[in-house]
Amino acid sequence: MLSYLPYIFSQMIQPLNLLLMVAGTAVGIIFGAIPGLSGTMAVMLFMPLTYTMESSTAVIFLLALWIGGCSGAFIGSVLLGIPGSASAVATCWDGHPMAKKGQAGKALAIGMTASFTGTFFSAIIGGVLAETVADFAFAMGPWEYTALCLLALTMVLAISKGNMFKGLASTCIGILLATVGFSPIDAEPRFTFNNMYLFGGLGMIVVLTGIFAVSHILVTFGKGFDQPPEVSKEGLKGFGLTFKDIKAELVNIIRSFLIGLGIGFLPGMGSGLSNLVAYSSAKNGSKHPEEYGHGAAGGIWAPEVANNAAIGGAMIPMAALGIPGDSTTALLIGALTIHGLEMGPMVFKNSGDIVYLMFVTVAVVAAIVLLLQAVCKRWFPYILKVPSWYMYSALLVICLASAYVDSGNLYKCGMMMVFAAVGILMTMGGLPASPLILAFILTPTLEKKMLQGFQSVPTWTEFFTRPVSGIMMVIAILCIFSPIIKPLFAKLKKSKK
Amino acid sequence: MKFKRDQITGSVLAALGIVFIVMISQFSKPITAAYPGPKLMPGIAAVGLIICGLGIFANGCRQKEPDKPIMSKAGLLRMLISFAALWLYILGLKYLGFLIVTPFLVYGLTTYFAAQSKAQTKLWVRIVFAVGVTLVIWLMYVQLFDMELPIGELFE
Repeated sequence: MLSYLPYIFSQMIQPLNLLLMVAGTAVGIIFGAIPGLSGTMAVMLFMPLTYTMESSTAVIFLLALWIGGCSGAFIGSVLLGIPGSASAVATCWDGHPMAKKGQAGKALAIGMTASFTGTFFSAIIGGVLAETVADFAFAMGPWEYTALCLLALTMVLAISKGNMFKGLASTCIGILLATVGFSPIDAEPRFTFNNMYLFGGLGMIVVLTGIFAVSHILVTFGKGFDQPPEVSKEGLKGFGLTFKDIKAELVNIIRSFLIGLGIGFLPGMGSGLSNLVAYSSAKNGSKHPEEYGHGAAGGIWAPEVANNAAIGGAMIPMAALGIPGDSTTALLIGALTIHGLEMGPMVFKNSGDIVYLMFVTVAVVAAIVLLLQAVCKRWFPYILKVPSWYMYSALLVICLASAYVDSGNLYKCGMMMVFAAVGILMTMGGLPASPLILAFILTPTLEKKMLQGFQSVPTWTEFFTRPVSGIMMVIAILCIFSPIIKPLFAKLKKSKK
Repeated sequence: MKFKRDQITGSVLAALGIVFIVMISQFSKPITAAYPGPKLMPGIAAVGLIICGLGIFANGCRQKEPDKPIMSKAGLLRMLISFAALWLYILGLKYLGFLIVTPFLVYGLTTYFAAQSKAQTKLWVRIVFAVGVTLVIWLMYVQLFDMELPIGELFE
């Protein structure tokens, strides 16, 4: 890694990169803070802008958007009691009560410091561990990759709330959309209807922006925009946190960090789960669990450290294996592929400079986020008061411009509208979007590796008899059947009692 | 008889799965035990859709309480009008280009969104916003990042 330091340093001090880092961070924070928007949406909308950039500049900009978005999510949780995204759900439970007690400044300061702690240290650990994981990955054949991709898809299902059939249906739709175009290895046209625009596949921006962004905006409007909320500006002056406060929560911080890092590392999971697990661990481990839910500082530290630690954790499988930790890393893998960077063990040999630049960028952006948030803390209420009618009309234009820029023709804009309609129908049917995103991004790799496996050893059994792929396949199958297995275990437990 | 939302969703998904299976059966390369070829992945997904569709349908049949409405009929109409406006915008982009059509779309949507939300907005603010958004996006994409936005067939 040390040999790349001069390159990384030269990239970091380039004026354009610095400017995009700060701008991306600021935009990311705004997207993260406003309920309904998210860092994922920011990455999706601004991704086409990076097509004409150098790879290093594109990586820096996209990561700044992502990290800003992850960190900004707590602002809505604290000031409104509405999480900016799923990663900050648990932050609401103590962040907002603390703000209501007139300690909004302290709650925000905890959020900022916790975000920085989680992101910065997880990026360092990620940078140190990623190449070691990649070295292990060299021993992996197509069978292990197939099993790993399958595991990533099914783990999302195992943790999906509510009806598991709906999560699985969303995954199936994602797989079907990803198979449009020429098939890998055999080059057979699938679902193309002899339309030249479909031969190359549907395109990530067109599908995901349509289903995820345009449909979301239209459905939100259909439900009725909320009036800009009244946000109290009380107690927002000063940083509001002392070293003593941090020391008092040190055990909680370390435990939450490890939870976040571990969950982030698991394929298909991410900050959405880590913040909930860390919160419940913090509550269970606290000497005063009765204070949780009423503005306990530990209830803000735990989810915020954990959801940001998941960033570094998710970057390890993303860089070393090419497997996304969550939907945003799935998008990033797609964006990096467009820039000629195929993530996986070979990336350290072919583009080690860019990979380490990614980890350093995350650490530097974490510091920029802290600085920006500390300076701009008193203006946070104004971010939350941006009227939806202005914001969403501008975002719709950006969505369509992204589709046009992505392909250079208006046909894809029309196609994006078709996927917006698909997204609306999915919302009406209660189908979640995250499994579709992961399936859409993972399926090409999954299918290619699976067929390569068959080309090497033409039998199914190889996927189950190789120890690593066998274990992952079994876990994947258990995840699929978890809705049946879980109640059975619960019944067994009850009958034993 | 009023159908539950899950019953409709399940039926649509199962029907979609069947349509995909018919399409997959027309692929030329067969599935064999030694090499599954291009049929397997979409095949698994199509079968999955049918199973999930039936599962969701069954859940809908078991559901006793009535569905909560996702949005009102007026909301649905609002959404469809916005959706249609975006299609018109794409048509406008084709013939008139980004710089001419975008201010009208942004102004129209902002006015419509605000009016439906019963918000008080000033005319000049909406006009300045519409023109400003158009110029900022144009400058960002075309000037700063050297990309192309539609200029319109009438001006080509």
